[in-house]
Amino acid sequence: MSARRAAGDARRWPGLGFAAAVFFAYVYLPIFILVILSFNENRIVTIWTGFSLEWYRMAFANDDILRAAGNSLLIASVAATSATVLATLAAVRMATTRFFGQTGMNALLALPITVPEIVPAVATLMFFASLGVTLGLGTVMIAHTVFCIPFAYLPIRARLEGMDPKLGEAAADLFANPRQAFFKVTLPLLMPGILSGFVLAFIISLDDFVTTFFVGGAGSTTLPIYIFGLVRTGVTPEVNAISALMLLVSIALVSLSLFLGRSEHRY
Amino acid sequence: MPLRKPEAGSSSANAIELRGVGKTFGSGAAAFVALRDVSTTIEQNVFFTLLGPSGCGKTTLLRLIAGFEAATTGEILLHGKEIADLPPYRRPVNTVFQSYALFPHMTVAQNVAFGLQMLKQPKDEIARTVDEMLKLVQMEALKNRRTSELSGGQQQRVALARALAPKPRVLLLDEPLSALDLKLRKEMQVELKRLQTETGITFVFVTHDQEEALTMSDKVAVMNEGQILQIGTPREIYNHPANRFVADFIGDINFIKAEIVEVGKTRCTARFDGNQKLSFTPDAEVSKGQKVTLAVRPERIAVANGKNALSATLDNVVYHGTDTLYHFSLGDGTRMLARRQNSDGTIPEWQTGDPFGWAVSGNAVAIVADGPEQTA
Amino acid sequence: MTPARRRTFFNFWLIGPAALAIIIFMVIPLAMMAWISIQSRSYGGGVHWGELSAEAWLRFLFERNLDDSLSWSVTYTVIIIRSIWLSLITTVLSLLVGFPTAFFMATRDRKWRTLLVFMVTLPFWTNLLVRNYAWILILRDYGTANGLLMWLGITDQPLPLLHNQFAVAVGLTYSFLPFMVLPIYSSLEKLDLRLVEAGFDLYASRWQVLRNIIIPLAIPGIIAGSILVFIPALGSYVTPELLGGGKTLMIGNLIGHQFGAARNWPFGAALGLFLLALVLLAMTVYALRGRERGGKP
Repeated sequence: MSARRAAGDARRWPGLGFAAAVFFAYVYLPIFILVILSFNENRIVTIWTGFSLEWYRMAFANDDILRAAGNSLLIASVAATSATVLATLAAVRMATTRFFGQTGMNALLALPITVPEIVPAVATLMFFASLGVTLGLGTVMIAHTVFCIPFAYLPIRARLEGMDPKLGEAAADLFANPRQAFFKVTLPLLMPGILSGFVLAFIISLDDFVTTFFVGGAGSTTLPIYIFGLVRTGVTPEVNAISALMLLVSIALVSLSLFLGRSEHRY
Repeated sequence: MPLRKPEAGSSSANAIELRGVGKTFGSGAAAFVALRDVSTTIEQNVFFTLLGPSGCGKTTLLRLIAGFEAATTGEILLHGKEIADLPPYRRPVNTVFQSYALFPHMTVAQNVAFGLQMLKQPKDEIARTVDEMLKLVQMEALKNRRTSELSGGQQQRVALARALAPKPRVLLLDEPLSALDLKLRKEMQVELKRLQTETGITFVFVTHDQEEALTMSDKVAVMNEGQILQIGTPREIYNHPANRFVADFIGDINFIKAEIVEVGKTRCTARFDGNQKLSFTPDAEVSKGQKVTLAVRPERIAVANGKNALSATLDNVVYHGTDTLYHFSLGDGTRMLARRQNSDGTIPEWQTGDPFGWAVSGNAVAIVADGPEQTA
Repeated sequence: MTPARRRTFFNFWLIGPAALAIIIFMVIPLAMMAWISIQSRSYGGGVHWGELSAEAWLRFLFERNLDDSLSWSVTYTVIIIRSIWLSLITTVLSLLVGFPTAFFMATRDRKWRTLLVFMVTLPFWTNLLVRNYAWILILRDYGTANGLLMWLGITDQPLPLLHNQFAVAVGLTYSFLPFMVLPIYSSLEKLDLRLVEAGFDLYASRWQVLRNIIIPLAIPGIIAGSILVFIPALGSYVTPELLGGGKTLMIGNLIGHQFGAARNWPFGAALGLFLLALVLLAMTVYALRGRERGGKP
């Protein structure tokens, strides 16, 4: 048939490659522009005059920025750790046996990523304020832990689901009691998923703006909050430098997470 | 029958004893009865096979013995002791899983050592046993490999070594050969039989492959719909199937509806297909006038001429290399099959519709009960 | 204790903490928010507990005059409609850009696909605030875009690209695009290319194959992707705050403002509930249209 001869290749469609190129340009160009401008020596920011590390030096010399970075890391460490522990326990439970209300439980665990962040953010603000709890690092850590749970949960759950259920039986058959079976077989096999979940939760917490903005208070200024404050007053080269750094940290971490999730025995 | 005798006289000669074992999954309208009132004994040092189609309850029975499921009713005795209350990790039985279930984060040696470590055996003893087991299954060269780097057959051997290492009194094997290709499967059949003989461990082997069951087992239990239909040596099961299901499930077979017209001292005569008569040695009590179903294996039917030959009409001749299949019909429409070896290299010319003479020897006929029929 | 009961107990402790954390710090606050939306407002922030009032809900459509009478007001309706409108635009733009990309990815070799999926996913994990900030650099009066346009001689005056609906739509699309691409990709990935070849074989043109074979098979992914883009766009806060300026508020900003300068908790709570209801509606539509799962990475 003529269609076969002229255009029979199901993989080749005119314009498809161009559309994809436009897509990736759209996604990555702004990021590249930001990173390039962060090395621009000109204070006017958008006109390139020469390469400079001045703004990075200034950012690292700025105590406010360092304090905000410290807060970000502290909050992310606490929130990601607690979320990962909670998520691991829940994932193990959800995967072992079916039980009444399992669908509801799944929905509950996914709740923090289903609703637009602004809603639970202000709800949590009202909750803490009504209870008379002072907003600050503590409240931010709690709120971050909650919305990090689904991000930690998903990779662990995926790992568990890919695991042969017979492995647990094999361990029991070979005289391992449930505790031994969990620590010698299930947990080591879950480890890549758990690490990957931890890193994802860490990134999400590190990058969060909305929840921190509403649930935080004095002393809980994180990097995104600090950047937001500067951006609202105007564009400065320092913001470019610190933003570029944050992008790189996120990219490095997510690559690490993916690497962890993929590495070692897949089955 | 040539059945290997267990140690004579010992009262705990039975490795496993099942008493009225039943298993129901779910409850109410969704309840599924997987096993109903199964009672049997499995002697020590025997290769015992549970054979049946998928869903017949054979794997469930194995999982009950291993302890992965609890029986709904009945008792399971291991060497005379009730084990219902023991969790799987306290039962002196080990399992070879259908998918092998090797621990992917451990090496071959670590897999084999796992059970021994759980039993808190001393390190040097574990090392010795691991070497011994890997040697037994000819895997000592791949000791430090990850299990994901092994072929299916190699994984199979490791799974065997792992389950044998704790020296269980009973080894349970859940269709362990089903994932292997035909050639490897044949090899492993021989291998498994050798291991059973060498170790003297009781093997309980689950399969849906009747050929596998016949070639390896000392005893076979044929199961269907949660019940054991017949237990016997492969010869007994093959030559004297207790009912239609067993006869049909194992190999090809012809069924002939007949009526007993004459009962002699050792032989009797049955009338079938109008007025054809067949004389044979019955393997069950018969009485004159009784309606029976006769079962005859295709390879026991001879192509015959002469006046004593039974008559039929030929439908089709199919050449199969080592043998030739003759499809023919009786006068009442019953379809029959005869298999003859192509030993002389010549195949007679036949045409559809030709008259076909056949004969069957007196000890090749079995009387089968009309059990539940099964479509293959 | 029997083994069965011991198991239940053990299990409760596994799932309990995560569920409890979400219930205490998310479900209860949301329930409390519903209660606050019908309390009367305290002007210093917070509410007078127990003093029931419908004031916050009336505010959606009316404003209270100095003499305490109500008159019709479209201030907030405009914002709500604008939010829905901008979210729809975002969804359509994402679909237009995302579908060809997803199709492109699905027709690559396996090795390439993994890399492409990673490249699509990556921006999602980077800071939303920073990514939107990058667009300020591009769109502002003497930013990259205007610089380029003037250098090309297309314009000699900077065009007003920032602080308008255009900027918000571009920013929202940019923010949530991966959510459109991934579900479409995962339904197209399963597409057997032999179906396309069969279509060609049966005399269908490319356009006919696309319309009658590929798009129908991608529908579950398209629906999932649309919902996954629409919901966060509708509730977005950062993008309109940075790129929209004062005149292009969306519901999210309106909610936020009730807890800032406006200090109107009941109205903020009512708006939050309203947003939640819209999201729920969108998800119900999704659930009714089939159960294909869209993919977060």
